Amino acid sequence: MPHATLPTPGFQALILCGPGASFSTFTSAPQDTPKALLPVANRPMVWYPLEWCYRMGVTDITIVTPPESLKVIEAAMSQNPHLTSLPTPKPTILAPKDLTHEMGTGELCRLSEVQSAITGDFIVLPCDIICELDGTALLDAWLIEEAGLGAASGGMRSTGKIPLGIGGEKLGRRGGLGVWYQTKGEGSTKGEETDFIATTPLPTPIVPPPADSLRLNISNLVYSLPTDTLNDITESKKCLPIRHSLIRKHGRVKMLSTYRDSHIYFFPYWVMEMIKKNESFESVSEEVLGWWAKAGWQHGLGDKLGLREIFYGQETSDSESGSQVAEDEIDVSRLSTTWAGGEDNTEVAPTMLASRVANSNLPQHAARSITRKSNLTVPPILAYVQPSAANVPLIRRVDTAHLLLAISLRLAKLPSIAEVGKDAASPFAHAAKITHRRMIPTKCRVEAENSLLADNVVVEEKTNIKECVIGVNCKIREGARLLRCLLMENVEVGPNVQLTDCILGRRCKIEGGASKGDEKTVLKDCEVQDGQVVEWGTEAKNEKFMRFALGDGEGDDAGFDDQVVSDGEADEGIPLR
Amino acid sequence: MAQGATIAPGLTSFLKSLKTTPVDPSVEHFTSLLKRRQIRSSRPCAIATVALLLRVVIEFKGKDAAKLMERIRQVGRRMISAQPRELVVGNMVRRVLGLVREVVDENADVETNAASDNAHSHHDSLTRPNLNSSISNFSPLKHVATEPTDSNLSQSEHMSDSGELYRRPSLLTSHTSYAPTSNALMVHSLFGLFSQPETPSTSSTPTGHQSPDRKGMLTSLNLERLANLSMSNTTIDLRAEVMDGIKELQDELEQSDELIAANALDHIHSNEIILTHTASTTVQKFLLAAARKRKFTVVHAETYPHDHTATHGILLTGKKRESHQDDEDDVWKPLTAAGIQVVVIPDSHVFAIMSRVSKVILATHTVLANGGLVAAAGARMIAKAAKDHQTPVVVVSGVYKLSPVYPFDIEELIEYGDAGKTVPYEDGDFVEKVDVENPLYDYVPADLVDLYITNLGGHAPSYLYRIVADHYRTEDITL
Amino acid sequence: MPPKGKRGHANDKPKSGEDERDEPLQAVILADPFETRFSPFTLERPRCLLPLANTPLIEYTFEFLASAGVEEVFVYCGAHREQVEDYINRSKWVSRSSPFAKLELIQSTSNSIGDAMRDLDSRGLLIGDFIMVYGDVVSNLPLESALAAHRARRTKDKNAIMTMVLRAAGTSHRTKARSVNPVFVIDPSKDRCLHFEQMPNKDGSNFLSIDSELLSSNQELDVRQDLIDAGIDICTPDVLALWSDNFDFQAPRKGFLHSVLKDYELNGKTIHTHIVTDHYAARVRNLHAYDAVSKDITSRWAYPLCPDSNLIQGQSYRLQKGNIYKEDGVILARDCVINSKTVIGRGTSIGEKSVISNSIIGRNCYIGRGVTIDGAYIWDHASIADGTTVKRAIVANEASLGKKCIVEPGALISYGVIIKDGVTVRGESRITRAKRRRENGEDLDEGKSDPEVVGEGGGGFEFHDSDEDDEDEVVDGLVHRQPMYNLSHHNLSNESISTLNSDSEADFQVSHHTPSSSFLSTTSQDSDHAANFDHDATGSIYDSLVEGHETANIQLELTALRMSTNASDHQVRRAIIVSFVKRLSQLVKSGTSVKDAVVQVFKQHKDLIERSIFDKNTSVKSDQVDFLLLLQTELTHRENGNMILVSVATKLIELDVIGDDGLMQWWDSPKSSEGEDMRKVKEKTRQLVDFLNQSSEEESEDDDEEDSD
Repeated sequence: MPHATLPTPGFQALILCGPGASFSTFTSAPQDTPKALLPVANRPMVWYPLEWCYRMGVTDITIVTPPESLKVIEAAMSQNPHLTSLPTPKPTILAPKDLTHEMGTGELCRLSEVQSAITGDFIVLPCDIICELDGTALLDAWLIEEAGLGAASGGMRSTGKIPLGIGGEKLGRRGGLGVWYQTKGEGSTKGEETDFIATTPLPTPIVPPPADSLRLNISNLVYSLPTDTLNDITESKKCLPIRHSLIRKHGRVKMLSTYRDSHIYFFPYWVMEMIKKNESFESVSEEVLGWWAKAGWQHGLGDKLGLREIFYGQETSDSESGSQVAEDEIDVSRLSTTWAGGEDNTEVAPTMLASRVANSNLPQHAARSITRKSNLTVPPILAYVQPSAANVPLIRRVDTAHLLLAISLRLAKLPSIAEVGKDAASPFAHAAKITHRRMIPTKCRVEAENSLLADNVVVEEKTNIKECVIGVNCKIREGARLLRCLLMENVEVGPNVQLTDCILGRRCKIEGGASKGDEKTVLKDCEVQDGQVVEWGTEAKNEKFMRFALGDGEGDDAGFDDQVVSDGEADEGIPLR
Repeated sequence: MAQGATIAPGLTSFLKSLKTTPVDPSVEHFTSLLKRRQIRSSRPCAIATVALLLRVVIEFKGKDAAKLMERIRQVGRRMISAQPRELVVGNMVRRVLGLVREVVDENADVETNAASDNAHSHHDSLTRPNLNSSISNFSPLKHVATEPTDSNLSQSEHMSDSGELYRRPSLLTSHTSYAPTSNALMVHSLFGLFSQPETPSTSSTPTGHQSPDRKGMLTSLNLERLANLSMSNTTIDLRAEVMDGIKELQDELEQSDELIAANALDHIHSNEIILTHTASTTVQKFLLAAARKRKFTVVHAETYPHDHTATHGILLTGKKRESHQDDEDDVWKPLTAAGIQVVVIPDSHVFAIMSRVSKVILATHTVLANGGLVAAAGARMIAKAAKDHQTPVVVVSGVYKLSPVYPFDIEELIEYGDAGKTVPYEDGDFVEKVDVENPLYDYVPADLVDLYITNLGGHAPSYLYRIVADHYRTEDITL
Repeated sequence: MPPKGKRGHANDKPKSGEDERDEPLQAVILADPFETRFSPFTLERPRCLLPLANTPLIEYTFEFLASAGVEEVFVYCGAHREQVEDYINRSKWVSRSSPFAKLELIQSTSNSIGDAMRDLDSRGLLIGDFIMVYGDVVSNLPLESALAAHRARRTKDKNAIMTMVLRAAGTSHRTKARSVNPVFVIDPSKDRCLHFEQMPNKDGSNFLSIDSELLSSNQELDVRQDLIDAGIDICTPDVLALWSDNFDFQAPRKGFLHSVLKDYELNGKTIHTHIVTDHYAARVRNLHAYDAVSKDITSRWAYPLCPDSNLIQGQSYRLQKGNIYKEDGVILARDCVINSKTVIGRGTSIGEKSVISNSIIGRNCYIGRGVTIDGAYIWDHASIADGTTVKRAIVANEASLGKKCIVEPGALISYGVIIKDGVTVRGESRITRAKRRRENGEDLDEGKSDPEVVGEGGGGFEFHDSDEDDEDEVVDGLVHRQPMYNLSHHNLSNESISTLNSDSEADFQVSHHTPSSSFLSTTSQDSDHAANFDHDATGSIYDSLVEGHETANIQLELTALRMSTNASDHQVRRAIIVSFVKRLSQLVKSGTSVKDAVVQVFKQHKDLIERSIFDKNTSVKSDQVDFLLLLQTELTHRENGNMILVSVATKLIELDVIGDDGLMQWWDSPKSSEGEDMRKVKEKTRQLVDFLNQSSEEESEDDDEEDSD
């Protein structure tokens, strides 16, 4: 394996920049502020996945975005100091013409542009992922668990399609890897979306992985559902039905209901083909994963997903040559110790028969002869389930306003490079908490340890800033008090304004007034849209200030990266003004 | 009682119950514990056995030595049959029988008004049973002269045919057991042959050494004498003396580790690299004794899967895992606390590291009369590796582990343990299709061992038969 | 494992210190699980005295309890009390040396575990926590940590009433329960068992249904099917109370556990699990387990519980290389071959050129020349004459096999049976000399022997006892992996009924009885009827076919019959098949072409068939498969049966009586293709099957869809 040690240069990253349906306040106009460019702790969101890729040495990055957002993103790429500071080569930005905001990720992958863009094993990332966890570790884990004896796992070359031979242990037949993180516990916001997954432990390797390896927490994914879908099922059926075939095949199934799919996927090339084959796959995270996970244990499902054709090629899809292939396939995987599904072959035949005829326990050779086609071994989809410990590296998807605020503040708390030095600092640490200390007058309180002040922020006398993230060119007038606020660029906060738990969009202005007099402006849990002006004397709680309400922003589940509106803001009233 | 509920029965609970229950039930108890492997490994077995035999002697009401011996023998057989691979049990029974005989002989001598120095020498040998063996580094020739059994043993020792090894003693013992008179005659004749040149040398020791064979003759005589004239006073102090003989035996059991450790400094030098394996109290104490004066490095093979827990325990805390059962098992601080660098390696690395090892110190389960030993699995590999690298192999073992058995059938000596230790029982296919054998012990042939260190000092393997001869009566070798 | 062990001991001390109770640790042994899985042997001897590796089962249980430090033991006997009693009185467990301070036998008239528990409760013998085990547990695991954990839990929360000690085993394991697997849903954080179910479950569906609130209330669930349930429970007295509160509980797991967990809201009691990954724990729950555990013991998985530790006095087994255990005084001819994993008891003599492998042979057996014994269990004083072959069978005490007999795998030959020379004992046959007298199941009388089975002048007859707990009788029989017995040789003897219906039992049996009732031994009367139901029903149907009655009427008659004798649907199906086929062949003989005959018989009475098949909407078409199997079997001994089979099958398909996948499953089912004739008959149907493959895939397609979103 040439690329077992360091990530293959041929490894591609696909960053999907969605509309951020849940940020209706800030992403109402995708053509000028797409979700991907929302500042998280003063950095554009897309910076994080990009940085993550570069950190693990993946440089072949493709940003997929709808055409209308193309211009802005390109501009940002060339101008935004953070984005420009990223190493070369720059990511290629892909804007398939018939890509709409409502399109699901699955469809997106079927678009010809994307198809042609992907030529080998690839990583799928959302633009809103904040992942402190070192990607290299994940990649290593994936390569160790899933690497075959063959080098490439198929794909496209200038010479044309690389045939998916079955030399070695499934050359080009590797499984994938997904990442799930715990939503409960510290740093969790209420009403965060979760996914329901069921995993089974991998067979214990002959050589146990080192204590710090991620492989300890990697298991085999056998079932995956968004929790709301799960709830639908349980409501309709009064319970969650689990097929016996699953239980028979996997003696031990662990079900997790509080974890969330981070939407970071390491996919071998053939997954692209699988997605292409199955038009019904709406989104990667739901259909692709769900079905793939099931195909691992549900007999005949692999065939239905057309995997046989993918693995063996059309011409060998008829039974005997198919079985031929499968036989030596099985032998090979028997030899292997690395392949997760190693011992499954011994199981498959009896179990699937057991699911058909009660109590039939017939020897396998019989089973083989009886089963029409030799059973297809589907490479597993692995799940790295982040253990819920105290200070695990942060993995979060920033797809609600709450999260945006929470995560920004959390990042703001990170000690800056100036404080702890280059290598000790977290990758997301800023050079300094407060870019220009001297611009801050003496007679005001700014809690540096938990706030973040970007370039040329003007702070006047007697202001009080606590746990805030303040973007470029913001002006905080005299006597303003900010608590747990996120200010994007060019925000102006008038005198004596009191803001708590607020998110202020770009160029918006909170008018101030005299400290005395009964009038005052107090905003709590508010979101102020870009360029909005909130005049003096507004006292609001839990409101959104925007030009117009976009009702449709809510509730399109098939959103670009399958956002689902978290119940958090479902109840938020939207005052028209 | 709640204790009993939470803690599985073991040596401690046995000793506790022993105080209250009469012999036969506690023998039952002991055997069942042995069967359940709740008392295992030499030391606990030895302690339990001796304690039990003490009870036997205490409860013994009769006056007849022969009856007492018969009784002990019969109890012994039951215990041995329970777990024949714990040879120590047999050893202890034989030792006690030996004690009885000595007492009998002494009484006999008293009655027959034998030479006072003779009696005196007997007295010595009784009160300090180690005496004669401590003198036992005389030229074997003299013993050949004086001790017919030894001559056999030594000869058979030199010829390395195991079949021979086996037949010799048994043949001999068949003599003693079936026709004591004939044995006496034989002994007599031999004695007669060689006694002439002996007499001029009037040092006490040779006579002391004649005593065994004289006994050989005398026992047969005075047994029936004891039978017909049953003198109360003799029987009284018969029991008493046997009892304090046993007490001494118990002291020996306790002290043996210290006595062995006393030799440590002669064998371990500064900056040596010592390789050992398994969690052995004896070895640990040995090393600790050396550690007081010298700095050296210990490489410890963890002997997975049997003793690795104990090994880790002994290295980290200085206590074996199972030592929560026998509380009188004194705590000692681990080697590392004594400033010794300890490197734990899996057994598979032994050969690789052997080239750098300057000395191998092995603990043993039991030592056999031919100088071979039965030790925890992995010992043989270590010994063999040491042989290849010309690394000296030292075995530390209390004399109580030394048994008069000859390894005519090694399979008989080696116990096969829980297969689940080596292969996970969860692995259904494996369990179904593969036969797993998991020997707990290795037999290490004598030629792989360079030196034995017992509580009597150092001996060459080829020399153990002497110690055997000094501690076990030929009549008792087969029980 | 070392840290675990350490922890066990670490939190051992404080616990025992903190609730330092003077009450001794007590244990209850259910010596009789009130099942008949070991019949016919259990007719004459209590189950707990059956020899496992030449040592009575109950010895292992005692050993286990003794090593766990139990002080008071209550043995709960059912049948054959006196035998158990005098065995125990002679054993070392009552002697002064016994580790038990108290060993008491309890006799009651109860005929189910439920009754036993209620009875125990009424007696109020048990003061504190106690261990409940069966009389057939083989285990060497120390209970300290389990007990400690249990007490810790209970001091925290009084409602933690029970701790089940379970042994983790892989997904597939010989010692696990076979056809009916228990599934435990566990909250790993609290080691609490939240849900229990058995596969296949009662309403033949192939889904395990997990309650939605379980999912919502627990962040993490473990669904474990990889556990050996050795039936070792640490209970508090509340458990007994619960038993006596609910009178419908019969079985400890299916009944008690399941329902207690189900109405957790009501009683608020929690049941916990203690899963061990080392040591050995298993239950000899049925013949299959008997086989598996015996193997485990001989190959030392259960060390130190192995023959050479000579558990009972007077045993003198010695281990030899390759796990061969021989007692003193075994007489082996010079050129007999003893292969590995063999146990041979004292006084057994083995003749020249005999080959023994993987077998356990009791004491004082006589084995002649040129005998081949493989994987068999020969109990004491059995004699096997020259040239006989015994494979994977059980030959009980004093049984004697003649010269050149062949005992096929799975055969059970009970006490004192005499098989004459040259007889072939079929795999599924269970031969006995004792018959249970109906009025009271206790005492036995000699049945008249049946030369068919044992040969002229032999002793013994085919055993069929219709009050069988049909849990997993033959499925979990001795031979299991490859069910050798080929049904083709059968005519409709009652024997084949009992095998077959116990075979497909797990579906229809459970689906029509309450789970508990399968533990209740049905009273003998109606089971008598159940036996002769077939014959009546077949007769009546056949007649009415000949007379050409209305389907409805036949149905009516049939139902009536069925109700009166409470026959299983399986039997109904058989009755229908038999009569139909009989009619068919008669028609064919009389000159009608097969096709017409089929149309005439089947089309006309299709409702009749449909009424006998209940699995239209489940995905496991067990009934249909069963139906087809019966048909196939029936046709094996008709001429041109294969032709008939094809046409009938096609007919049924187009009548949509049999679903496509029903047919497929039948086709795939092992029983459909064992034995020459079966295959022969089946062969012709291939093209039909091939034709159907495509469509059947579609079918399974949508049934996959249903749970996908």
